Amino acid sequence: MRILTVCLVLMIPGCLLAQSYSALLIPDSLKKEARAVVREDEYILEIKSPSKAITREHHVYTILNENGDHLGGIISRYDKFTSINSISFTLYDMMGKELKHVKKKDMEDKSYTSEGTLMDDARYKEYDFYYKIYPYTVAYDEEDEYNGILYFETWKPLLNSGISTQHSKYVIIAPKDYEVRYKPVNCDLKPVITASGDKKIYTWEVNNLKARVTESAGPRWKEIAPHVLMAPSDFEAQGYKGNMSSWENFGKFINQLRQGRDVLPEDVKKKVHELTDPLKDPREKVYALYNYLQKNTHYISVQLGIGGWQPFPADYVAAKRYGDCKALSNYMIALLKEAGISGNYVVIYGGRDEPSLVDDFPSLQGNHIISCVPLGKDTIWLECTSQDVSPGFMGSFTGDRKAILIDDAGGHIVKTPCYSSADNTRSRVVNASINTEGNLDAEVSTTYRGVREEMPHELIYGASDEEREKYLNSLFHLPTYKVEKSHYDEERGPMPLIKEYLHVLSPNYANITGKRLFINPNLFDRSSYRLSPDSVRHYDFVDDRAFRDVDSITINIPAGYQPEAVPQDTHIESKFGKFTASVKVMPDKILYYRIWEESMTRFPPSDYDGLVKFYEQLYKADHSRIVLVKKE
Amino acid sequence: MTVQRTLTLALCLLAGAFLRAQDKPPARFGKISPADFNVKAPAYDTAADAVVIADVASSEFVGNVKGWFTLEFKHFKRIKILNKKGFDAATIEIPIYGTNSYGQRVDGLKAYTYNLENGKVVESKLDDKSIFIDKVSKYFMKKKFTFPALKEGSIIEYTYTLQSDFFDYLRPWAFQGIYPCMYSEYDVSLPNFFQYVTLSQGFLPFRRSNPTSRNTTFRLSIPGGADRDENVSFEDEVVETKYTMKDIPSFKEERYTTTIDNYVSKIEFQLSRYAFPQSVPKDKMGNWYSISLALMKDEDFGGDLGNSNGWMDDEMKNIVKGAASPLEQAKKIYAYIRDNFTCTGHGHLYTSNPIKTTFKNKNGNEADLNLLLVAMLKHDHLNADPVILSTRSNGFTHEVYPLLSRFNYVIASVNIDSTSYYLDASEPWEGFGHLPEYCYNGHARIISAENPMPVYLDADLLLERSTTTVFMSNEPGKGVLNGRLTSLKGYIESSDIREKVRDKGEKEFFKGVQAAFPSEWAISGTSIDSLKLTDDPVTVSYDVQLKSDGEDLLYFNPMLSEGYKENPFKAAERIYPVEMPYGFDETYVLNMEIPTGYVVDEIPKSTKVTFNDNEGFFEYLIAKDDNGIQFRSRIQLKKANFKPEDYATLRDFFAFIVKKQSEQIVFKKKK
Repeated sequence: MRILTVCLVLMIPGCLLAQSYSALLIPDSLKKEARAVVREDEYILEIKSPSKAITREHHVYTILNENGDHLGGIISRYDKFTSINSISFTLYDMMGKELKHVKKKDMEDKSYTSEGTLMDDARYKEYDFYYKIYPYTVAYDEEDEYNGILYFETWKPLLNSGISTQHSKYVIIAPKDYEVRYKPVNCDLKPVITASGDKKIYTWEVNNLKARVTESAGPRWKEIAPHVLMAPSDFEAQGYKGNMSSWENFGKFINQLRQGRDVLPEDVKKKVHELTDPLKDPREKVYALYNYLQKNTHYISVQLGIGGWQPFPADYVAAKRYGDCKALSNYMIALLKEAGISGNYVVIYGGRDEPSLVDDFPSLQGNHIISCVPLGKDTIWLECTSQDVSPGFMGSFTGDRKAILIDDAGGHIVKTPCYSSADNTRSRVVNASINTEGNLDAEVSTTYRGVREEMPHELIYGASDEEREKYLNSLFHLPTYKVEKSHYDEERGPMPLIKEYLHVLSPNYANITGKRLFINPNLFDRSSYRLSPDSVRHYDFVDDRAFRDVDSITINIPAGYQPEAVPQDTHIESKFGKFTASVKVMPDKILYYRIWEESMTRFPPSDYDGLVKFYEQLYKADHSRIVLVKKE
Repeated sequence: MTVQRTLTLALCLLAGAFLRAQDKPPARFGKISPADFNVKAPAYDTAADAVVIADVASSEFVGNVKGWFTLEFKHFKRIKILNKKGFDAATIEIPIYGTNSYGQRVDGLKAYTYNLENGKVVESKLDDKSIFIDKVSKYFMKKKFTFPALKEGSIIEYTYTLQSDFFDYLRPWAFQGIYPCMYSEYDVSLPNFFQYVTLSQGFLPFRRSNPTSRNTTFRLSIPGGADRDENVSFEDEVVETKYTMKDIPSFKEERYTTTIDNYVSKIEFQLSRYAFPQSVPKDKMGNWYSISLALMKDEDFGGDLGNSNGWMDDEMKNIVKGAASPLEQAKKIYAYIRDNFTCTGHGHLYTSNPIKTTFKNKNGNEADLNLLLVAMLKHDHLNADPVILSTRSNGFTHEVYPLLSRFNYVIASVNIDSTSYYLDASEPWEGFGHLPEYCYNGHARIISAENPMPVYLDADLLLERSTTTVFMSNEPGKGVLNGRLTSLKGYIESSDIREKVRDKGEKEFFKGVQAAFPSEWAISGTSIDSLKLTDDPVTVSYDVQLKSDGEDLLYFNPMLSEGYKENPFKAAERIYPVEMPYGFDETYVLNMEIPTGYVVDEIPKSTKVTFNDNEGFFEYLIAKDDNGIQFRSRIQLKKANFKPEDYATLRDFFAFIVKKQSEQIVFKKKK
């Protein structure tokens, strides 16, 4: 008996731990700053033909703490083009002992349709071990089959911030004559290419990459992480054939998807002429049609099959009066065409934090469609999913970025308008008074322009009256207050402008202690941004907002007080921005003036200490008080 | 307490006015004329983006081919879209539960958009291709569509019938929704053989028609398998009752509300008895005894609790090793589950797996974990029972009616030396005997075959107590003002701090503390005690120092950064009761030496205000002598729930606190 027990003990490490998934084997260098470690990452893409491919994946992750838990579960998407042949998912404990094993049939099957989408026919399989004894390891294997190809997965040897990699490999097996396209980004990782019969095999491989960690206000992960973009050359999906080797060809493929989908019903054609024939200026015609689009359609997202890239036809939009970004842009272009104006379909990344387009690697990029009308030197940009945005204005959702403009010849890289600090302005004039109880009564008139206009724009168009009131009454950092009255006016155009009027009452705004009155003259706009002084900075500091704020505040004060302490004026003009705050105490009033201007800049890590100081100076200036004391 | 109020209200309403005969829907499906477009935002809801013209439904039972009854829910709704912000009202989702063989089906879905063009009504029909079925999960799908040809001013309407095999779930009806409604009607036809209890709630009264009765023949076909199906028919009396409400404003979300669902005007039904002709009536709703008994036998609840569960014998020995008393034993078992298991989801009344599987997988929903906890406690002969409750966001439960559908959460109770401890092992921060604040929602129920007693987990009984002490001294070489702050936090705030520290680290946590100070103050020597001792609250302490150039005047707020800077009650008005998560008692004490070289020029005045007699108070006491200043601020609110009428007082109370806590001591340099 005794001998048998010993045997067993010896055998367990020998057989069960053969795959060496034990977390104890991870080198310390890979655990530094890591929440998880990619032990093995293998992705094999076998291209059978321009429309068919098989992928085989093998991943082993060791999760070191709670923040790595998302790797302890899987989500696998499938749709009309992709089917999952098999999945297996295994959980191991710290020593590498298998605890649980599940297959495809054990997983939950869920709809991909998200909030805000009417229908999406994609689905996903989901499973999570919900394990929490750290470290633990999961291994997952999947085989997928593609019937229809539009893109290839990117190789990411480093998965994300705070995840190190022990071994990662990406293999493409392609027919000998198939052109495999790839582009290394933030690295120069190259494949080893071998031939095997009528196949060519491309293998990328790396070992032992330490974890990197993103920083707040730093570059996006994609800008610092090594990765290799992959893309098809010839491809085919749902009967549509294309070639991705140039933007020209990409554009031709998109044109193919739109072919014959710009036919308008007769009544709409009539309406187009009714609206535009009396107008001479093509710009006015564009505005008139855009206004018609905004009045008569709204955004509804339906994604079926290749519909992720193919717009619903113009007559569908005319009848239903709704569509997604593709359908509405396509419809807008059809309206323009009827009026004899040539409009273009534009593929873009929409969103404030979206990645930028990689313009030297033609591939399926972008997540949004807009349209534009080139008029000589000028171009009118049109966001067709919004019923309220000004024609020509791109804002923070689509402004200042590269995009792919599609015309008859194919695709071309273009850039959308960029707004500077001279465009994005907010100027505020406040007439206020403080009475002997310290109560504040303020009339606030503010003009917002450019990107600064987006917030009040949302208050006009996006929020119900009730939501607006709630928002306004929790916006300011005043002790207790009420916005008694609010009013908004918008001037539309390529550089839209909103005038806001608020009447604000704040009891006990100024603090009275005995004979003294404490007043912060900066009523509504105190900078709360502070950087931690003891952080070690590795990456650039990205200031991605350009704006200019000007405040002129007059506060009438009760009679009989004289200044005891008045904050010194602050005036900074540095590469980090321009800032001025000045205060003047007169016998009956306080005059306060503040200007803050920033432009979009990237600062190297060595500038970090300077930035800390800059924001600290602003914070101090914005929070300083005037002390008034009663005349004896 | 709150539960009782709702119940009383419900009874009042039921006894309320019978409906007059002329109450009938202002619209019928498919009947529309240009005059119908005159609808505008109603006077009682002038800011509306859409208005429901009619929301009319009925429920009745019909015999089916499965040998039982199908519930037919017919629904018709007409909405006028007033502006673009109301377009959201035009996307409809009809949830469908169950499977093909036993579940719900939608029939006869029809929808139209009407637009007034040149004085004429133009209709656009929803085509079948634009109706989508989104299979969300195995037992749940949604029928979804959006209305075509939508414009500002469009009228939209739809109708469908939902056939449901879930005969014991008679659809509830909410009169009030996110848009104002001009007319809402629910017509319920109940056969004598299914007897229901009706429950109602809400701030607005509805009307109930004089019930009318008719004799109806029910035809059932009982599947015979290989044999022929058997057809059965019988006659029974059916009583039809119509519930209506007119001119209903939309409901509005407010801060410090457990859930708006508690205050929306609605009626619900609960099957209470079977009374088939020629048979003995059978109780279906039961009472707390019968419900408890059934739950304890249910394999998805207490089925495993009565067993000896011998499979855990060995593990249990390890888990409770070294426990010297039953209390220690219970604490070890509790900590074992809390620290080694992952909760996959909260808000479940039933288990997802047998407890043995949960034990092996080391994960499960909160019912899995807490019922396993009960089983483990029982295994070691401790007096433990499950307790069911409804979390705050899930609405109140009834103490009188044992309506299980109202409950969504299971915790454990253990009684040791005649003290009851309530335990939730699903939250990693909760110490022994502490529950998450969302469990404090009034009535909860011990599930035990012998003694299913009510338990009252009332937020009014939860008192969050914190004490902060600060000593400021004249230590030479440390600047003009310096000292140390020590803050013993309340239990709930301690849980928050534990979570923050785990997510971001202690360093980040103190960065937040530093950021609350003006920039001329620096903190150092930071520490947090009892982070891992989840049974105890945490103590946060740090040194503070004023960076000063020796100004002639020093302005010093004795609250440091601990005072209220903004009023937590932002909105000026209130409709619904205020339901805060707990009452609190915050004490702040400061003792300071007068900075060397300075004299006190001015100090704030002491004051004390009480809130609603003895429900709370705020005191601000300050005194000085030659050497130093003694200061104390204390805020106490003894309860968490307040009536809407108390809101203004509550807001004023906090406005006063904010004002007083911002006052300054002024020191002047000795000349």
